[in-house]
Amino acid sequence: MTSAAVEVQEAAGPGAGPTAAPAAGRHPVLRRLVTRVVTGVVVLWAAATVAFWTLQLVPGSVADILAGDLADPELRQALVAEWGLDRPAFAQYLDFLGRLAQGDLGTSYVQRQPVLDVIGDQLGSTVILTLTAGVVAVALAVLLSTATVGRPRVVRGVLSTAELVLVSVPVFWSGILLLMVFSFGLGLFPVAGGTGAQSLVLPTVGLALPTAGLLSQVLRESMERTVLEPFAITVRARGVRESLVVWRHALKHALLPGMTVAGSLVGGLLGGAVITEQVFGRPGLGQITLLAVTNKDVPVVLGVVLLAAAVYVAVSTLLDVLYAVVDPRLRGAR
Amino acid sequence: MPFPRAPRLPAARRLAAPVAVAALALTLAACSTGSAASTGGAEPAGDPVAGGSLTWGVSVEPVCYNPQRSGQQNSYPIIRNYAESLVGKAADGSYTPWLAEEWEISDDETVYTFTLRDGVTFSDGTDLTADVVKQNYDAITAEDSTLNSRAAFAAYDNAEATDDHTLVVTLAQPDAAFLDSVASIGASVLAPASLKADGDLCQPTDELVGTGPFTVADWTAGQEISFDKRDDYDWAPGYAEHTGAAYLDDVTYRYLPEATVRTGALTAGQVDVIENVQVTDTTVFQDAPGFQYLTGPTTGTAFSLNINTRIAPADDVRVRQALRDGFDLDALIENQYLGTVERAYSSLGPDSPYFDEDLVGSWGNDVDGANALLDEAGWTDRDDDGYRTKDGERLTIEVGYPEPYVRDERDVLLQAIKSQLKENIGLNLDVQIITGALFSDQTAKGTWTVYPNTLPTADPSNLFRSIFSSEGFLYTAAEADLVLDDEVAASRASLDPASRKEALDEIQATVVDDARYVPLYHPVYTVAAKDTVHGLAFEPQLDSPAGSYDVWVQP
Repeated sequence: MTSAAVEVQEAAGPGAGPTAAPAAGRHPVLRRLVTRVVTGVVVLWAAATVAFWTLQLVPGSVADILAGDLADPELRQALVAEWGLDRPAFAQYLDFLGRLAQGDLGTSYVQRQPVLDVIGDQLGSTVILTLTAGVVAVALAVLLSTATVGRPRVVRGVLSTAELVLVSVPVFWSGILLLMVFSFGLGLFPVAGGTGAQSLVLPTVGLALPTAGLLSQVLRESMERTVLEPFAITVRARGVRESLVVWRHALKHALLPGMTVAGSLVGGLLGGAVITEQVFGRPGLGQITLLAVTNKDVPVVLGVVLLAAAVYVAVSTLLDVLYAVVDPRLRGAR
Repeated sequence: MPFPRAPRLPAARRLAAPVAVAALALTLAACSTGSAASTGGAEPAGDPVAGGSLTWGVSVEPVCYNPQRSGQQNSYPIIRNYAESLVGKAADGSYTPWLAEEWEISDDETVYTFTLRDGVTFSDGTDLTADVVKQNYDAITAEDSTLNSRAAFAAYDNAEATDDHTLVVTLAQPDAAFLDSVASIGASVLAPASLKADGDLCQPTDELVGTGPFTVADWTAGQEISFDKRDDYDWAPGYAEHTGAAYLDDVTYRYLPEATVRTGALTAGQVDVIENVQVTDTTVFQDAPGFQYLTGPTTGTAFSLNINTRIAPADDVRVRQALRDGFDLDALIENQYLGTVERAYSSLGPDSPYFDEDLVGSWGNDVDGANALLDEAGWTDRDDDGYRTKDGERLTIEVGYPEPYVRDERDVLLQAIKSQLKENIGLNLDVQIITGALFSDQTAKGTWTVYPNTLPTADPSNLFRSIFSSEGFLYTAAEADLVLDDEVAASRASLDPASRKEALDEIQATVVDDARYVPLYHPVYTVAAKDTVHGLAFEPQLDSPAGSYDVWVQP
């Protein structure tokens, strides 16, 4: 393979990262896995703990919030008794950890369903939305960035500005604009409903645009640097077409920073999904989270926090693996 | 961003301006109020036609579908399709037969004997009997009950089913609000299977069984719920427009939290009816061809300022009265709500039979009087910003408005009042949007400042108990000089309308006279629909849209 020499050459360059020495342990893969799992559990515990005590610090007692304006004292007392809200916060915290260890997230104060069901019922819809939006965003970003890399400054400037607009426009606003035009105006897509591919189009586009804008900028920046590097000149000198230079070489080098940004964008996608679901009247975690936070529905808030932390752990682990796949310099660490 | 030429449909063009304004303002408020007049572009409807489907765009998904547990007004129009009460409440405030065909009240007003209708069945096929109703009421009032409807049954002592059709309810003391409680959605009767079911029935599963004209066909949380009609239904409430089965074959309630999206969905024909129409969208439907626009009655409390009289300087009645009269409320309401709502003089809505009409025109917009009161109270100095001061302290009254309750741009109204109060009388109304949690903390400690709120419709005795008595949420029993326990008790001690009105008038006058309570305007429930939809109405017990029983669609 012709590119092998190029990669070796680049690896020796000034930009080369610390290539880990071959692992010392007898079962490096197993050890790495165990470390990962332990770290993951610690992250989850820390997230749950911080969330639990933050909710304790928020003013207002759960019983008061649940009882509401019109409630009488007897109803309030019954609620306190039902949920054990009169017990010390630390005892409630230990209870919560104990249940958590058994895989029980508790019961929603407001919806009165097991938290696992509350989240589980809605998770699928949010996952589908964020996944399709993520895929569309990545595809769009790759297309936009590769199409413009190395183009005249004006073209890049215009596109870069457009991307900046995409990044800055709140998904709430772009969602309503999309609805006005394509649903209310042209009647191409239904306004609401989580069923069918048609109803997924507008929310996906609305959610994907800002992510695509940011990702595209990062990819282009990185590729702009790469196409000027000596190895790219070498490649061109061999008569390789410019588009191939971009697609085969520059893009590959841009993948690492791109992946890092994409990883952190997962959080943005989840947050955006909450608002997108609200605008489009889609089922999903959005409504649940909003409701849980405003009602101080502690078990559900903790469930959502744990879920977010778990997603974070999973994404960072996945990224670690993918780095090694993309960047041969990191493979030594296996 | 892909944004091709403007949409060409006329509906979309009408929509464009308000939508753009709303979108730009990034308003997240889901609720809005509308016009005080009900209008429509509807032609004479002709005779009702059975059959067809209808889709509602509603603002909020019920947090809990169990009628006895829900305390959420937006959930009632949906729940009413499958859950029914013993007694109905008509638009004129009178009570009509429903699951009970008649009832008798003993002379001492403590024993209610209900005679149930023949042939009423739950949707799972079981019969409605007096014993089932007793089980329901006992569950609501049980020692460990956390059901929301419990508060309304405060006077309930016990019930006996003397035979299958006769239920004798005994109260601990007379309660003029009891029949209203029986008519409420919270007192809906659920099937024996529901009462035995585990859990809280907050989800509309097969276990949640009522006697209503519809049964749940399909439900997707966060998206929509749909109902099929019961062909064998034949026990409509006395206030309904027809008898027998519902007209519609099926009806769907789609959850569209964004007001702008609801408006768009209706103009684009994707739904047939919407509720909670945004004020700025009123003109899209009002007097517009192809649409109708309806507003509900107002019998709940006005949107009002509850002033904490324990906190200086609001502990001085002169300061509170100056606040009450120091701005032009009529002008502010007209400017902001464009004539869609009515300025308030009393806490109760003008549609309530207990509205105290003597208060109309008795207070407000008296800037000279307000200034004189403040001079008299010693707030005579002025600081550099033009605010009155006393002993170097600025005349400031804080307002803590819980964020979850802000809707209808009521925060904007408060800012307008603030600005007039500064200009007119040098009072600093410090409006702060606080979290719901902080507010509930403040109520628990009694440190709430000015609480702007409105309460949904209920019997006025129940409403006033919540706000002005020591059993409510703002005051404690220790504050004997602040609370109106005796007056509230008097208002429910007898069924005699004249003596009730006397007690309720006294409460309304007292709190406005000493300005602990400043009513601002009467919010109304709004509904917009295609003009082919007929039979839309409001449930008088709630002021919110009724279920879909009487609704029919012109083919």
